[in-house]
Amino acid sequence: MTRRSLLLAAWISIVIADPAEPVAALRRPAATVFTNPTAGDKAERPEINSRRSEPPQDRGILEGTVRYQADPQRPWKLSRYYVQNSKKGWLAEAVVALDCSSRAPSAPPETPKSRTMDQLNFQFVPETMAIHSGDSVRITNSDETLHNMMTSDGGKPFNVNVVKGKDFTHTFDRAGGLTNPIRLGCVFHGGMRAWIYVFDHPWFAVTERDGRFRFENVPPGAYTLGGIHPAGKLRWSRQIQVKPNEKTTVEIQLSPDDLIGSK
Amino acid sequence: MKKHPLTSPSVTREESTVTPRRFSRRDILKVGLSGAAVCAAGWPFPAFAFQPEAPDEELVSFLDMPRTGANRLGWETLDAWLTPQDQVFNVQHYGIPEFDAKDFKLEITGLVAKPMPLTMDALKAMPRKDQLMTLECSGNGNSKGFMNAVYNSRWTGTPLAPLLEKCGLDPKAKEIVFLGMDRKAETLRPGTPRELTVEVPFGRSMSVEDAMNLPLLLAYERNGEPLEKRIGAPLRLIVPGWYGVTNVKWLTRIDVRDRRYMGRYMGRDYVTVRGERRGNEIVFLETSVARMNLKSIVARVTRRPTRNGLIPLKAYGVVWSDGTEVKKVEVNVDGGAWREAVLDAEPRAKFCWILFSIDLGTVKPGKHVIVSRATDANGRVQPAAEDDEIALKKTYWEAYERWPREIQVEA
Repeated sequence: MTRRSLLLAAWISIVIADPAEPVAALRRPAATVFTNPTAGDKAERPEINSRRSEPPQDRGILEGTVRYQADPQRPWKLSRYYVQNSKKGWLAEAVVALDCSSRAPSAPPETPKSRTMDQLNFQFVPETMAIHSGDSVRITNSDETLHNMMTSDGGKPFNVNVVKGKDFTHTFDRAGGLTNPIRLGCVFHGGMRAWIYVFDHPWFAVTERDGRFRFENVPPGAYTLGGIHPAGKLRWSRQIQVKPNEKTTVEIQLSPDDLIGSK
Repeated sequence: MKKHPLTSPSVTREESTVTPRRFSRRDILKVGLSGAAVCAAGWPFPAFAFQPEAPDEELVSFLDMPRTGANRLGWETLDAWLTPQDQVFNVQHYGIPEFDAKDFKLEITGLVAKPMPLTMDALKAMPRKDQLMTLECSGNGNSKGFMNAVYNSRWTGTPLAPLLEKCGLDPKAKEIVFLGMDRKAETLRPGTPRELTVEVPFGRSMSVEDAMNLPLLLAYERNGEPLEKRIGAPLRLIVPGWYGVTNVKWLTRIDVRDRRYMGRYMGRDYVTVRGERRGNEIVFLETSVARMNLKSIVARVTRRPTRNGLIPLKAYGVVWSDGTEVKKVEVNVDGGAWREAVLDAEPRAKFCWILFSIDLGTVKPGKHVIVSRATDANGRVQPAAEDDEIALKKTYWEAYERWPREIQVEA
């Protein structure tokens, strides 16, 4: 840690104010409503308790690709970070999840997972993460400078300084779904941000570089498939149907209309 | 009461005006999408900044740089001379204050003949002026994690100097203190028997001479829109040519005094500690951050298709100062010869950044380092990190050293 870093830490406390701005948008309740064409018919209602060791035979697979169609008239400048191939439009680092909010939460994983989020080159890596409630995240610092990691979300706020080579681990128990993520920042470097989405069911994913995601063992039924790109400020939802014992494929095409605040 | 000498008519003030000499109305019309026209029409901001890129030009990302998020200037995609609101940074030390805007007022107190409480309505009824200005946080550039805290604006408000004249500055007045609505308990001499904790407002100050001679503005609009609260609404002090911290947000009191104000952000923080050579001795001096320094940065690099194994490169960048005229910007690749960049002839204004571009010729595939340096009309040259001016500076504020940018290009 350099002398300047210490001075930075000791002499200035930059309040991260701007995370509030996208966060306010994120806090808005999703405009989507779980729909079930056979509401009231328990036989048709999707079974959410998915963490049983042997999934029922009738479950389906849902997979898909999220693409962003650029519009030169309405440039989305952040696309250079998240759309690696502008012709194909694959959108990376978007969170996609089934809306199971009207269902009982699934049992926590029998073996909670542990993920790692690094602070490297003044950036959280990965910037966006999705986990199951009960999972933990180990946050490390690979930069020479002092970093901080703080959040006031999730019911258990923390504010920790971490020097290079050290780490901090936190378990996230409260599921906020797509609407209430854990927003992380570094008080010393206001541009550093990260989002951790916590779910109480297993049908969530962060899209890969090719925009793809895949859910397995999905109870058949009608769902709202929600999506958000917190760093890029995109949000969308689609109504989908998962059929028993089949693979359902969805193609999600986004445009500047899906930028938060564009409408 | 005798008048303060600086309020006499013989004092020449810099023009705090809308239309700088080299950014005339004719230029505005010629460009067709000036800030003024745009604001008036409520259109989105123009893309008339950098010279247009060729159709086959492609952005070359800088290596190992963090992504630019919301409320930060996107250097690589910079395309507007007046910065759009969603790329404007804000830093505050006591948080964004909570208050009822309808109760807001500005008070001018201390060594004045006629102390004044002023409502926003009263301030808006006063003469209205615009001030074009690039505002940079004095910490901007201290690391690659904090290098987007600068933006260019048209601020609108009422000029301060006539208002102070109207209040009648006492001849004993030496210092003008600007206080914000944001407050915090500060502890002096912590851990000692003389420990003292007191709640203080955020404050900055300057001499009466500076306050009367610079085109200070009490601003309530930016780029034709009401100020956002996070950047100081309803009222912000605008100090052209001085670092961001001096531009006090949520300005609620102007206190005129006969001695130096030594609040935390004048006397303890935002203090540059720098060694200066005096003969064989290095003397460390502590000075309050005030005027901006001459600074240039390569904002983005583009390439064109490989020709005969070599890759044509072009660089675009920005240069600014405290209002001192910029003479030239030079750029070099991999430590080679400095080559002079082309400074855009328009748009320009005294306290605003100037955009530049340069054809860098061709390079071999691989890693390269591109850096710019500026020179002003007084012969001052932007220093390198290893020059005394920067190397002997022990605090991170005023980070105006040259910024080498690393790229990697493939055939």
